[in-house]
Amino acid sequence: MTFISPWFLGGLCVLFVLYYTLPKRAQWPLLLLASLGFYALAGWAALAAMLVTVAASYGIAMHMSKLKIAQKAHVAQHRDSMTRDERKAYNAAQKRRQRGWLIAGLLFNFSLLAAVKIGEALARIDIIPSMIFFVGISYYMFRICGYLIDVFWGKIEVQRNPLKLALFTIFFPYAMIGPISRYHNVADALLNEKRIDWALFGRGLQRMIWGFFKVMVVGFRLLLSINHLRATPGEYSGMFAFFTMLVWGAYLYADFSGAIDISIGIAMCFGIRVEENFISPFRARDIFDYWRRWHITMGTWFRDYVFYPLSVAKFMQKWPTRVKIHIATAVTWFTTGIWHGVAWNFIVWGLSNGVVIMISQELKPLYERFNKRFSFTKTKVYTCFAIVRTFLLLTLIRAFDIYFDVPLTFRHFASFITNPQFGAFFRYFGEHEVWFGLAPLEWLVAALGIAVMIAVPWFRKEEKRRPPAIFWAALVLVIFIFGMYGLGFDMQDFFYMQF
Amino acid sequence: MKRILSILLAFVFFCTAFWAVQRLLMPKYMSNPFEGALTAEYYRSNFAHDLIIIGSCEVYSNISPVVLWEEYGIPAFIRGNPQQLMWHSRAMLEDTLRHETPRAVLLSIQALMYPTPPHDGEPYNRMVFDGMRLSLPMLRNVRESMTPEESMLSYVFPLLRFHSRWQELNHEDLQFFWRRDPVSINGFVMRADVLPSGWIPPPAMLPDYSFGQQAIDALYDMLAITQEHGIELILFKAPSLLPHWHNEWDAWVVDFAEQHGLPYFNAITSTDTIDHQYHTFNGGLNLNLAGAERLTRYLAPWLMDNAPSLTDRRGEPALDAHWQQLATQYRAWQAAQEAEIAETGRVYHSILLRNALS
Repeated sequence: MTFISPWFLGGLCVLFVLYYTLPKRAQWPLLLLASLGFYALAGWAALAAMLVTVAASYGIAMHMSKLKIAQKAHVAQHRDSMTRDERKAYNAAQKRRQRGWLIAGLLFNFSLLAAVKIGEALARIDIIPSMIFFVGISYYMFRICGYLIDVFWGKIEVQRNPLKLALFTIFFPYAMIGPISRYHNVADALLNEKRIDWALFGRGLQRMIWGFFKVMVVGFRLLLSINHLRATPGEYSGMFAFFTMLVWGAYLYADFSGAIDISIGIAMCFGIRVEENFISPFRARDIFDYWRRWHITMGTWFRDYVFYPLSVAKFMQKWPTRVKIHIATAVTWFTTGIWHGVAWNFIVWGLSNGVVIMISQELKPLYERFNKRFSFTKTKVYTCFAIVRTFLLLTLIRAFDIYFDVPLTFRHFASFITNPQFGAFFRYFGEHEVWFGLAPLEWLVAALGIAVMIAVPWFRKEEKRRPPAIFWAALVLVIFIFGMYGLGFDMQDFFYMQF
Repeated sequence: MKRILSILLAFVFFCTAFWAVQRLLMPKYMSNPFEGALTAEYYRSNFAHDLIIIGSCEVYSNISPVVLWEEYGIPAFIRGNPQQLMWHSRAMLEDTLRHETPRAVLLSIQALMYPTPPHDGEPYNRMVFDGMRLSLPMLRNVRESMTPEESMLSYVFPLLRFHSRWQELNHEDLQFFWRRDPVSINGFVMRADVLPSGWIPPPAMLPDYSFGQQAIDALYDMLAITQEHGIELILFKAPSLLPHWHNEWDAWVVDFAEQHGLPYFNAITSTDTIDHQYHTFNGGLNLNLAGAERLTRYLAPWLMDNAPSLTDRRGEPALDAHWQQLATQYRAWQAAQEAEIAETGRVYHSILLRNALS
């Protein structure tokens, strides 16, 4: 079941009513039941795998917590009898035990994730039969592993109720597609008793409408064209391939950020604020800025749990700082690629990001000198140039995900120079009545939709001047008229639901 | 207070705009396929019909209500649609009973041959239900008629189905935003031209001559409904050459009619007045005007004999006046079609009643 289903929306309305009318102590159990039901609809095997993950993680977190408490008690009890060195040695030994349990937990969870990812990869090339679709597994694995690491680091208190931990792991609005929430950010909001906050509820509804607009009016419309363009990728090289990459970028943003808007909006309606995942990514001025704006929760997860720990790991200390950072960057982006799937296109995509980031880091002093020396770098024109440059760079990197075929993508890059087909590209529009699978009027709607989508940086205006209710009513009408749904339209899942 | 007012205003705006957009985007069925307007046409009549005729093109092209009235005094209305299946017919009957209780129902049983909703049946479902007033029986029948791709919600809010028509809007959508022109005379669709039947393929042998359970269930439902309301149910098969009506099927219907004491008129075997060289406009599938009038003249006396509830109602001033008006339109339509046939040999422009009357 996806968010774009009358059954889902109908069920959601019933759930809102129950949530705010039942006794408040029933709120989080109700959300858990709904989340389990939602997940069960994706398949019992997927639900079972998720429950096993939660159970194992719960056990390990509790055990780590017990070890921590015992350690503190032991140190307190023998404060006078232990020397400083003895205490240090004892603490280190206890930490090692806890780390052992943490590694066991992470290994268990990531083995399951790896098995699923490798299975999917093998099924894609027909080596094994198609697997059960473990929907949202990458997202909940990261949530629960983040939780384990935070418990180990002592950043959060262990959750003693396994059901509450299960709710944090699979809260249905973010179960399938993110954001990858952190326990300390959402636990209180998820588990506390709440009275209805009409202002927040209204903003949640508006956020959902905005998401539906992005997904149904822009995303699904562009997907038709994408499917057409990648059905015969050999035909569309040069400018055609570049056009495909641009459309892909717009589609991916509309689809993913739209789904996240719906997800965040639903959570807000339950009085729960979850993390933002997008902040106008197409306004980024460089790749660092871009990754602070696109799929933020994934980026910060890898930063906090892979990049930072790796940079300060003991075995890395023998290297100079720059080498350490580059190694950590390469590993982080390699794992980011693998997180998306065990496929060459994802690995190359991840490493491309890593390489660009490393080069940018090396060139940073040069840029700073350049910026200091030339005052035009502070003008709006230069800012626009930087935005366009970053956009084009990321458009090329993103291209690896279009065809799931690395050599083909490189051939398309080469064709920009060897066979750009400028004339053929512009003639195409005059010679065809349907342009890349969409009628000209459909392109007009898509273009207007993209313009609106990029021009309205939702989150910034949220707390300030918000559009009046009539704007939202009109937007719902626009979705009803121009949305892609209904008979004849083959509804597909969100792109990011496959991860 | 200001916020509540603004929300209320937005709600009113949304409902009004939704209704207007839905009305704009729904097909008007005022030109091809104009048959989609037949269902709604019923609500324009004055609901004083002794006989309701239910079925597919086997009835709406083949029986002339004006002849039934003028020559036999039977006020009748045809509730037919293209490819109207048995469960569609049940929907028509249930919908009719929400507005009037006729004395008799003449039901075309040809659709018994279709066992389940066809995979490509969505356009026909829409033509049957788009014009029907929303009611629980309607929704129940929609549920039984839907193809797997359809959704019930799209029958409650047709915008969900027709929203993508925004690219196809034309002058007709604006012209008929508020009003609709008639497309039939009491459900009768006139075709005065002739397209003789040519070679008719021999009937194919079927592995199984059983009717589908869904169609049989709908027939039993209609039997129960008519019995409950004290309505005489009469079964009817039009004299079409195609699709072939197998003897095995006919035997089943004869048996069913005997079991339940129902009159059954099979025009294929009961009459030899139809000549498919002259009395058809589409090669033997349906009758043209001459054929329909001939068949009606043959059917009507049989009806009077076999359905005692049907009496000659001529002489009632209100009915006379109403039918006089319909007969005038009927003749004008006929004249327009005959004039066009004389000029072009076929009926194109005057196939629409409004074109003929304009």
